[in-house]
Amino acid sequence: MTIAKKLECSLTIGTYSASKTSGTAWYTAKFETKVDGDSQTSKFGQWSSYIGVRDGFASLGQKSQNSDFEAGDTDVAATMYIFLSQKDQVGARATGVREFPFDTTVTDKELYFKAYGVGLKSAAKFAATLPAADKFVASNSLNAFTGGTFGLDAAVYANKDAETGSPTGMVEWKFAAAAWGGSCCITTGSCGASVCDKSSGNLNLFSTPDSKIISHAY
Amino acid sequence: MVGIAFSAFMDMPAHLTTVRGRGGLGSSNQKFMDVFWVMTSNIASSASLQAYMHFYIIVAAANAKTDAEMLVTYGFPLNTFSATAGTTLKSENDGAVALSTGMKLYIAADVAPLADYYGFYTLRMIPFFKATGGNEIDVMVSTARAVQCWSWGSYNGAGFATIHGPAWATYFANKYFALMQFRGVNMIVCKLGTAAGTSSTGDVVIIPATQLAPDTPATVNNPLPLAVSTTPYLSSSLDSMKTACNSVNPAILAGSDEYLGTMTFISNANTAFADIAPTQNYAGTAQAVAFPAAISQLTDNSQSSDATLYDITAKTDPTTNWVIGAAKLDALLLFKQAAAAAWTDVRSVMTVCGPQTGSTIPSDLVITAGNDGAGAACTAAYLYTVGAVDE
Repeated sequence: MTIAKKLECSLTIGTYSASKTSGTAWYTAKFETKVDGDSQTSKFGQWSSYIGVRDGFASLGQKSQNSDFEAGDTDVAATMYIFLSQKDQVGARATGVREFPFDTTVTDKELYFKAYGVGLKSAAKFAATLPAADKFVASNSLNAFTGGTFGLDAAVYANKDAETGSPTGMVEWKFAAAAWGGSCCITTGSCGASVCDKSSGNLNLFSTPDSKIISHAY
Repeated sequence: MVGIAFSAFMDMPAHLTTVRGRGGLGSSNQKFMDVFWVMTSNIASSASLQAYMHFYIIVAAANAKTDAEMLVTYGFPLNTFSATAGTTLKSENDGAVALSTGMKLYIAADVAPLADYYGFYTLRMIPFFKATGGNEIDVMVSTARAVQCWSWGSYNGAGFATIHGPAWATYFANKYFALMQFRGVNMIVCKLGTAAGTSSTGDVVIIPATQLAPDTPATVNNPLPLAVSTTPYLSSSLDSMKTACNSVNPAILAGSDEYLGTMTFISNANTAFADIAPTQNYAGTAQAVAFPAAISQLTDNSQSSDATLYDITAKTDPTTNWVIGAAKLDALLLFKQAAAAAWTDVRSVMTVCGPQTGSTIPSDLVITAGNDGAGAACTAAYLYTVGAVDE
């Protein structure tokens, strides 16, 4: 992964001389700030962010809240994020794109979410969500795609029980082959028996409405 | 973006991440909350997304205390600093190191500690280790309270707690407090019990110690380091230590077990550093320091000064008791304070020192408060070898 260590923003006010150049720079200013990882010497957490600008796979994140994770708390919830972009393409590997781990245009695989750790609860519930603030919009879509909001099928992806029989310290959720992925909405406008409505909760997790682009990615 | 939410997912260990428990992922003694998370498929050689997540365990709201709410106070009454421009050995301490040659705990009268065990970060001191091993150290208690203490940490290596910067602390709603990482800063863990302090007097626990960094040259019997010392183990001056501690003292920890990994209480370290250690420069011969901070400033042994008095007199008729060859005499140690000192203050302590060789102070000396021999007693004598670094 390539990590951005600095963020920089420049402002230049000049005299017009051509479409992209200025005859006289009347005013220039530059703002530069560091992000995590730059010149740090064993001061983990001094800065609060990493910005991955180039990597080979989808980024993962962890969410927490101030009131979470108190010592001795039981049945604590945890939320993780998978950050997808339009470059997270599926199928055959292509130059210049990130490769999602699986080809989700087809529905021939089972999908597993597994967690390992002391203190994990076998009765934990799983839910995959698309945060409202991060839904796909047309302004950052591919040109060939109109964009829109997406709603996962809550009956499938919310409040899912863990698989039984897992050893202590492991919790596993399993999605059958047809329960995720697929090419819903590419051409036929249908999601199985349901009418494809991207915003009404009929979408499969990691489905690919546009060619090789995961629906909830931008 | 896809959010993967796990509800009722995990039970948090009952102990704090920040004090470094035992055991890693999979260990029954794990004190971190670590989760290894994998998304994969069932095909052969499936690629996967993986993450190893570490959840910092924060203090339970009910266990986040102020220093006062920890109900046990501590200080370094013999801690010394000095100015750089002094002209004598005792005044040439450049303050580059913060020394401690003794630590005092105080449990107020009728006040019960929160838990059996307390942990205190200490300034550069080497306590007197017991021969029984296990890092147990000698302590003196003013009452019948049973107290055991242990000294933990690397005396010239890294500390064992990290600084959590302001942003990090804010992120966790200030539930991480001023833990710190310094070489030479160790931790004293004491089993104090949860019995209330003795009525009317409280309980005083003194942990005698020698300095961590002796003078150079080491022939100077002086708890103050020489000004020219360039290799202090502690890389912080007094000021930087205060800064690192957010201008307050280190947090106090408490729990039900002597191991740091089981501490469950932590204070917010809201006591000013100056309230636990004398931070005034030790200014040569000037009597600028109040009695509790520097007793030797006030001891001329002449009784000639109204401000200072320090003398030893016979408890009974000296003409019949203080005779040649007499042993173990009862004597009264008289002194006068230049300023009012509450002996319950964590910076108040009185010590009597003498040379090891040819000393007139017997090793079984008993010192009691008051003048009737029945007051609170100190019963242990500690040998201090000048220049010794007992690491």
